[in-house]
Amino acid sequence: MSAATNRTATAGNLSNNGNTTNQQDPASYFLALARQGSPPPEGLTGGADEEYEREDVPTELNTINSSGGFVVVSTDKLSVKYTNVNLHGHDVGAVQANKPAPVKRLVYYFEMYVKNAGARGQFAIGFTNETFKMRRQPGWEANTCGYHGDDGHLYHGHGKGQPFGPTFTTNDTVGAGINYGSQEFFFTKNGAIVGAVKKEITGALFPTVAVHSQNEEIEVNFGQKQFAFDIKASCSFFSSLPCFCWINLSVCMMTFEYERLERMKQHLRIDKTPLSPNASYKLVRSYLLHYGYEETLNSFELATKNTVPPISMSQENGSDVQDIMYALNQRRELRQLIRNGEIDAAINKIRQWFPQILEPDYLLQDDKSATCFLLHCQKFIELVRVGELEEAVNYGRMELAKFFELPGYNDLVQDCVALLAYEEPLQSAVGYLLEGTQRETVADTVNAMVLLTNPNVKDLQGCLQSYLERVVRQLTVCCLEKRSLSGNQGECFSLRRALNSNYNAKGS
Amino acid sequence: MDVDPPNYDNVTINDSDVHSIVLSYLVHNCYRETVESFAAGTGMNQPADYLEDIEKRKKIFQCALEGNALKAIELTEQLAPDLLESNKDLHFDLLSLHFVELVRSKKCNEALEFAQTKLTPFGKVQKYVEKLEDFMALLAYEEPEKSPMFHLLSLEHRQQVVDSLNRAILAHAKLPSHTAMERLIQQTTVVRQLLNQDHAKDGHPPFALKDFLNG
Repeated sequence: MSAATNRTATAGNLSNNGNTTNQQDPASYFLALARQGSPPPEGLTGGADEEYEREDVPTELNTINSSGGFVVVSTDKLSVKYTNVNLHGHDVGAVQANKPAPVKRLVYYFEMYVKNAGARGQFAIGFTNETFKMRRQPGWEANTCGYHGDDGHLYHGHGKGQPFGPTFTTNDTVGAGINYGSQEFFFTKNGAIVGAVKKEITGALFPTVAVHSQNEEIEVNFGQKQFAFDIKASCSFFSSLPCFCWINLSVCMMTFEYERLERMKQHLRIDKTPLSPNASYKLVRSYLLHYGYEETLNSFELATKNTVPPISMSQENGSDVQDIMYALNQRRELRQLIRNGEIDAAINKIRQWFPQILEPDYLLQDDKSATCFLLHCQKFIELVRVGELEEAVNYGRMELAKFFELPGYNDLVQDCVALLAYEEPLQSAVGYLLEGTQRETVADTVNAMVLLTNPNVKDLQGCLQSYLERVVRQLTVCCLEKRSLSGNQGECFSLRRALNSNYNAKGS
Repeated sequence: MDVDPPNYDNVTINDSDVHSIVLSYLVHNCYRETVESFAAGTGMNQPADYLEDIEKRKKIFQCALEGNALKAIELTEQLAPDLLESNKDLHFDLLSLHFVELVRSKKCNEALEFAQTKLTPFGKVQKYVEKLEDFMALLAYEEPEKSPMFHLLSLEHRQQVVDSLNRAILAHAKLPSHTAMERLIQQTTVVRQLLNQDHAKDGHPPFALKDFLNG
């Protein structure tokens, strides 16, 4: 698969509705775009589309920092026994997991099984932070949370807890989890949800279990065995759903994954968001106009003319449309020529119609013309593509050599020239230049520059990107911002996942 | 490694993602020629088989929009055999479109007969009883357009039913019932609103796409 062209855009001040306040110089914008296809430098991997990043997950109990002397951790590091008889508040045998809960996902969960309630059944399950002192129950200290077996209370940063759920004892399995979507802790007992509480603690949280009376013994499960609360089937988690969800979900309740349920809540909110009439239509139309897809546009207008009810364009801001209709026919032709690799023909047409965009200092493109440069590069690439290497070299000497030392230009020139070095240039690191997407970038550059020749143009940024792309960028930026507000917890943003939110009720 | 959050400068937007978004809208609305033209213009690969289905789907909802609900039902049964079976609401709505057509053409006896044979069987289930009552009420008026149920005669109502039908057919074919385009707009709105809440900006107006695009 080819490396698709990407579009960079400067971030704007979010309070300004995400539109850029600093106008970006078109030349540098497109020069950067032209190298988007090149492989990223060492150390940077994929993009925002990667899910479930390779994060460490808890696998066993941490024997190094646990309160020695009160507890014995088994050799497999999955069970704990309280060996002491002391029972005052600073003799708790708390043990953390070896790693903090992973955050780049929707939900994290683990369980504890009570083997022996011992003398007083004073065990607990919960989460604690890095600086937690292991001689206290989880929940008694700030930045910790714990569900306690002896009283069924929830402790959330104070010595005094609140009634929360049932007590638990020998042979019970309790679980604790973090829902990053709703930013809550939730707890379960024997496969059923007990309840949830808002999580205000930020930062790394360690799954924690504790025992506190003689002979208490518990086992932990970090997912190596099947959970009792099958995160694959939650039946009773409707306490926190707003009532309208009931009606829609009552049928599907029984077979839902806990995670899916969380996702569904998000989807329902999205589903209920009204769409302004014809928003989609407008975005599509302006996209086609912007990029000069004249034929497609004609087809589209024909098709939509006959829709019932007819789409009213009266709300459209007249001048906006004028902006992007400008020189539609010529832009279409130029795009076609460039897409077919007919660079000379394209340059000729441009000289005929819009000579100014080839001039240096057009729109302050320094004393070189970025548009001219990109066209020359593409010509060079086309020559290499058909094997005319000698001609390519001559051409390069004539037109590209002068850019070798110029910052902003030199990277691309060097990549182009590097094409000559390979027998199989497509396979090389500079192979991206031979992809069709490279032609698209040049076509888009020319398109934008032509739009900018419109004497009536008001919106510079609008010439660089269509509305549709601006909405996509807004979505991306907002999601990233939102995630950073939750301390970067929760699933990574993926545009594809966001737009394909057709949750399947059957749980596929 | 995901994009470093404070580093929004390099938010990249993938061309093919954007093309897919546009395409999703075109396919959903059965603009077949436009789909072909766009695919050719952008060099996208199109699987040929689903273009055929587009035509069929288009025929179905065109029929329904023109008021020929029975034909639409027939074609739907052909394209997606068990769809209406498993989607009683939709089935009812489609049949009632035909009923409404009959009422509009003042064929009241026919309408009554149709209702009795085709619609009343739904009445075994409570939720349809109320709907039935609404529809039957139309018959009571000389000028149904002036009745309180006039919206049932409207184009908007028909549009809504057709929309549901379109989505149901798409879902049945395991295609997205909501376009990526719609999702984009809705998601952006929701996230923007959530952000506004988090930032707790007083007096900040709710996010409106229109304003964003004009702003």
